[in-house]
Amino acid sequence: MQKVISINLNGNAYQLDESGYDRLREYLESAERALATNPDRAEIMADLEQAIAEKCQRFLSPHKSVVSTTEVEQIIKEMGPIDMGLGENADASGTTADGKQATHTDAPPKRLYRNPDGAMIAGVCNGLASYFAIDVALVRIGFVLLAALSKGAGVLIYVAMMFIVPEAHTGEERAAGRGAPFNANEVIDRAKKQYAEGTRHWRRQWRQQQRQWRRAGWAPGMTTLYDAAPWAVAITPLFALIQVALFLTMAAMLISLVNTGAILAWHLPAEVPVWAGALMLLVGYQIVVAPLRAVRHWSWNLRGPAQPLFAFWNAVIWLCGMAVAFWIASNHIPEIREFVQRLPGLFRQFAEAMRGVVSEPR
Amino acid sequence: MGLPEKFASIRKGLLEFLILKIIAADTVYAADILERLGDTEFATQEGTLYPLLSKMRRDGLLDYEWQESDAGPPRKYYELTTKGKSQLAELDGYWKQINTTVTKLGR
Repeated sequence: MQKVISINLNGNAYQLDESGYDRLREYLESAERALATNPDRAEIMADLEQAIAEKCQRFLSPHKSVVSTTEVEQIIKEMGPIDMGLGENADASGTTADGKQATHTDAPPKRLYRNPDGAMIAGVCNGLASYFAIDVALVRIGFVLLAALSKGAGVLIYVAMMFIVPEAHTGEERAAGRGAPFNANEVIDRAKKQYAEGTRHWRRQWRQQQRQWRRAGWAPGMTTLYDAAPWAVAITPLFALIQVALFLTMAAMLISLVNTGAILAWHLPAEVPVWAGALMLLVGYQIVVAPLRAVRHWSWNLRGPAQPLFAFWNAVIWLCGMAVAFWIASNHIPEIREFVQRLPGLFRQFAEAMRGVVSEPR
Repeated sequence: MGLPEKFASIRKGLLEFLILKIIAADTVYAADILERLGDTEFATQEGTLYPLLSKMRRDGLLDYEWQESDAGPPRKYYELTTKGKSQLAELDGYWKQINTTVTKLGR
């Protein structure tokens, strides 16, 4: 004796026996998986259910109210597997019609990224942990130990990686950071994990906000600065000015540090080498300037989808201007000429210190 | 390898063209399309047709409207858009060109 199960196919009620029900559910689930990336998935699913319903109708009569397993199997055979090979890029769906995950023989290349999700500082440890598939905590402990044993040089490695290693912005990039294929299930898993992990909420929010600002140009529909606060647009040039002023201050401090070993009138402690002071100055400048930069990125959004190009030319003009200014300054201002002459020595000191760190732990 | 397999990809590629032709001749719903293809070399199943129809609609080649049916729930009846019609004309021309080439080449 078979149990009978009532089902609803696109609004029509049918009765199937239990094993027929299992077969049909399997078919619909595999169809749903095959259509996972299709924008019209819901509609196609409704069409399929409707077609199945009409086929069921054929097997029913006033004296027969249940569709049997063999009949269900015949219907499924008539329907055929979901074929996305026509027109759609065949590899867009990672699943085949019989529900097996298509095996990606060519896994995407593994790349080192900084992963800002759940990061403490800039996501360097997080990215390394993903890359080597080990626990973040271990990497962090490793870094702290390295920093302690190497008298602080580990911190410099971190800072260097902060600037060298690119940040993962998209799901694909984060997946590539692990060398794993990127698919929808994984995104869902990650979303669930993020939801469960309620802590560090505010930090994540801030990061998301920052990321949004960075993307602002090509995220249509996002609130622009103008929508949020029209008056703020008027003062965005002010932020640029503040940033220029900060930059000049930083440059003056750097020049005075390199030339005289003192930031304006404040002398570095004797045990801190000049190059370390210069690095700290640069990092400090980055930290101070970050919010200003974020605001300016945000205001770019006003200029619409041309933003990436605009940002590119902005950077080119900025670099050219800097180069010209620097060239003029180094020819006419003796302090700056001295600074330029001292730079190679500074780099040599830095390189020697690094070499010392590498050979020291033995 | 049998004859049908040799031309499997050609038949696949022609399917969209044939669906445009069928819809151009009549207002049809999905089961009609399957029925017309059913007796030919191009016999197709729902699992292939529905994703293809939805893709063609997204490409702006066809559209549908719901119509009541005397048996069961309302059905989607498909019709070609202007873009679909011009696409069909182009494909038709190209297909004739291919046919001429096939006939003319070699023996």
